[in-house]
Amino acid sequence: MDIFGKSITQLRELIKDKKLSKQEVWEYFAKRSTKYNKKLNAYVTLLDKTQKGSDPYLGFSGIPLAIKDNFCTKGVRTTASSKVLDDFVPSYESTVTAKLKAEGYELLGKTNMDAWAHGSSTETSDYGPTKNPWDIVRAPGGSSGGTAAAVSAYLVPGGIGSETAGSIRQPASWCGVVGLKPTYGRVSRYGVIAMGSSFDCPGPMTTTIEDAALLLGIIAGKDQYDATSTSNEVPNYRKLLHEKKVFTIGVPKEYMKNLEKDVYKRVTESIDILQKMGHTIKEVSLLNPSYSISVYTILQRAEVSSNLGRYDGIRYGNNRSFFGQEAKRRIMLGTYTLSHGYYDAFYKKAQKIKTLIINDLKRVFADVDLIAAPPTPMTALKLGEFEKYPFFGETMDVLNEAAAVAGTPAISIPCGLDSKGLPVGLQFMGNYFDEENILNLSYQFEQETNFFDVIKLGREKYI
Amino acid sequence: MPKKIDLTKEDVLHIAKLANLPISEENIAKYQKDLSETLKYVENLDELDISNVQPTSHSTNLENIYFKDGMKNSRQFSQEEATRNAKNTKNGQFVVKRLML
Amino acid sequence: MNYESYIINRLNNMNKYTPVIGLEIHVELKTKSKMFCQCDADFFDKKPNSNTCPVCLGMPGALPVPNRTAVEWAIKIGQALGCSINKQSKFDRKHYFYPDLPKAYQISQYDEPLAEHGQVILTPSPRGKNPVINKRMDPSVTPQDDKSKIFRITRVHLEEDTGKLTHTGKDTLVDFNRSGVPLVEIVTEPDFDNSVDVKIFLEELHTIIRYLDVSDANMEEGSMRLEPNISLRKTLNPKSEIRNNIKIPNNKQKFELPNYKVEVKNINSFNFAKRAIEYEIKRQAKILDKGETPAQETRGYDDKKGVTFSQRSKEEAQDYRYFPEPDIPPMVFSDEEIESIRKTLPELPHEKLARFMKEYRLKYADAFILTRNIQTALYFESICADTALEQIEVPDKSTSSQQLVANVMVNKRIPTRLPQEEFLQKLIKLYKPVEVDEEKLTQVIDHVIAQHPTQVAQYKGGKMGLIGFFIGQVMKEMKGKADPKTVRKKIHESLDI
Repeated sequence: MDIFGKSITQLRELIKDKKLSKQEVWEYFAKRSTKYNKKLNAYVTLLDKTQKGSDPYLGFSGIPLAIKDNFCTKGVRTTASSKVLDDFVPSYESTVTAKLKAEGYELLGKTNMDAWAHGSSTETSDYGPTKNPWDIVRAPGGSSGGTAAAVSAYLVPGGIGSETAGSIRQPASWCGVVGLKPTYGRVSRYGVIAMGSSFDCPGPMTTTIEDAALLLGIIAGKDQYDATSTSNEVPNYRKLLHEKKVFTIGVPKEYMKNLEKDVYKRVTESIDILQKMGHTIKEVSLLNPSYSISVYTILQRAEVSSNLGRYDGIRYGNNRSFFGQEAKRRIMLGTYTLSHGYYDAFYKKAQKIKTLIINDLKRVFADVDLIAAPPTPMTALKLGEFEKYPFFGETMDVLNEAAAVAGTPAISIPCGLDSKGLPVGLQFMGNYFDEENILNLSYQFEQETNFFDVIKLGREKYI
Repeated sequence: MPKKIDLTKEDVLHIAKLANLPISEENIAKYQKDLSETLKYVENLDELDISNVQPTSHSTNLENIYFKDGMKNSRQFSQEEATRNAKNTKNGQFVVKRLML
Repeated sequence: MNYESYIINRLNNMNKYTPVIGLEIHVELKTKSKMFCQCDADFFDKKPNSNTCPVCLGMPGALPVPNRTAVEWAIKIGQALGCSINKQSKFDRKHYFYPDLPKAYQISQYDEPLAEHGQVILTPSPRGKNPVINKRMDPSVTPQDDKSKIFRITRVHLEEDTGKLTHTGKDTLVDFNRSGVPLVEIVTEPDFDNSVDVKIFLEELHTIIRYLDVSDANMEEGSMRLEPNISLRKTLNPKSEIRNNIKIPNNKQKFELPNYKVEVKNINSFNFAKRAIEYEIKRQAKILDKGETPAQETRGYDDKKGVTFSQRSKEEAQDYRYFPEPDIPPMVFSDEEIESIRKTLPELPHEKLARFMKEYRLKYADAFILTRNIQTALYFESICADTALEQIEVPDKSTSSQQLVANVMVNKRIPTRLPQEEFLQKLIKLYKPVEVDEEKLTQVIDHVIAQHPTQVAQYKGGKMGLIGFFIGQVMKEMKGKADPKTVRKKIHESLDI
């Protein structure tokens, strides 16, 4: 049975029908991951079941997934790609990975990321950058670059990333895979190494929409250990994919500016396709995204400066001299904006503009069901280019920050290639807890276009 | 207090102290530049009218989330689990250099 | 002004300066679980760091969820101190670096505490009535008495405790078993101007909190902690200045607050608090006399040496960088909820004391002692309600049986740890009317009358007072085994023929 290219959903069926064994599946992906990791550096830690007693996952429980290295996995090294946590092995499990384990998925490896999730290229990792499988002199995006690369090169059939602002959508678009950021509060943050407490969202990164719906259905839901997780009922996302829905889709004119030529082209072509499919396209107006950059920069860095205070090397890990430049920079800015006398001028002001951004989105969603836009203004940059910007991450994520700040859900799906042969992403944004419609429209698009074979082409580079 | 955009060396050293971050002499200038650039950018927020706007802390609109006193502790560490990741322990306690009081 | 504080004032020659003292008190709640996790709040005698979990150890990815009971109990404390409860409240992060603070921030409350603007009114008892009373304040006297003092409670809020540090040799050891235990912080306005009032206030606060059964509030054990802020101001007019009087409370007086304050830590008992404050007042007065200003700082108290000593300079005030806790949604309380918590308050010590004085006609001193502990007060009332009490006969007609019970309990003539039945049995034994052998009594009376013809003649001649003589003689012969009332009656019967 040829495994190459099968989705999680397909593999589950095959295992259930005993056409494949869990061991076969594990070994297949473990082999591929080991083989290509030297080239791509997608993983910080790869589990090795051949060594006796080397990991706590006894036997083969199911389909292997790649998990971003900011999820605490019991008994398995967790570093957030920072030397501060170089030797940290948690004795507790994040809720997300516990839920996946309970549903019969297993951990293949912990994927590389921007250290502490600070970045949009996975270049601030203390373990070297991950390479974009489409062109290894380029960055995969970030901060979930490792997961995106692993899924793109089919080293695993799917994985979990996290997004604070853009960290799932942007690498998904640069690596040509599916990446979903759920509503803030939809998925528990317990056990996820905190970056921006008000924004962090764990989410699936997959090769098909059905897989994204499948994984979301497993990880979503209220968690007693996370006071910010909501009790909203978890719909049957997979079932709802097949409903024949017609949407009114808003395209914000502010989001169609300052784009690379090919990004603009592919996105507008895709929107035309949506229209031909029967959906209504409407031009809408959203607050200038540059304000979201400022709001997000202030609020996120303030929370980062607070969340990284606990890393002092006393109870675990190494001391604060092990922090990288980017982490220190963000901690410093955050500390400054919270310091005596500046709280009103920065943090409180940003919280007020957050209100404006939320109201702005609410206003638009009163008129449209979903919003379509590019997820990033450009395709994958070359490694090293990020050094030009002091707040590179935030600038790269300009088209992601509104949803991040508001806490609304959004997805990035492939919609073609640019003239350099690099993937271009298409983004759908939805209202609070409207993942089902985001996935529905994405599924329709996938059925119609098969994402222009982007995902297929991506993994075929790694046959 | 009026905002400061161009940070001085003393500002940077003060922030580093507050943040408990070791920074080397060579890097101070770079931090000055980086931080000042970022602060300059976020000034664009002054363009917006927020005179009657309330700050939003939580986008979820959740309220009153608690746990019940006395419920089972499923996450309890043993002494070994609690101290296993520390580099310096003594008799089950974490060790730091003696504090000057 | 309270007699004792007046004396202290004179002794210290403080007419020039008036102390300005505010209190910051922390009370450890005795909930079952910690404030933000399910670890045991009772950390006593546990192996170091064995009473921890990812949350209270500040591990990566751990998140706080608040303990509902801790919130309710903090509100209760606020209500018992006369505060209004904020319908909107929240937690905030308070940042500083110290090894006993695992997250490098404490989850506390900043600008929306659970309770604010309360007060405790303490009233000195009338001078001269009873030397014992002069040392205490009588909270039952109504505020119409112009000697009452109001001590304003600024706020009551909820936060988490830190780990414990042990300094040994070249190291400091850290144990996080206590980290995350719920703490209620009570802050007063700087309404205190002497050490005696502070001690009495603390004792009253301790009693109130014990009544609520939310904490052991024990200073020696660390479940109640005090940090006074002390400074001195110039007395405006030493001869006529009225200090902290209920008719002109502090917030309406116009005096200049000093431009410094000294915080004192490491005070482990009510007495230490009094001594530490007295020492500080003297120390600061000396500095001010020289024309200098005492340094704004934190000082520790060493009771062995009887001094405070400098710990760290508060000159550069800590920048805590407060911001709202993003991991915990806000708390919103309805009027109904707040009212339903208030309904669970027991009768407070000063209310019970007033009622005991009124209902049982107890003297202040006895009522005070009986109400220091709610169990004792309940026990007293239970005894008083017991019908078996009717069996006793109080020797002094001006005393009621309840007053007698109070007296017996206060003087510990019978241990009050006994089960109620046993207590009553012992009481009855002490005060049961004596069984009279009627026949023997008649014999003895006749005998006494026969033995003292002179006195009989005098009595019959008009000296009615001699009845006491005869009673005495009869009681002597009866060896006390007679009821004086009956004896008197029978003698009258015999003599008044």
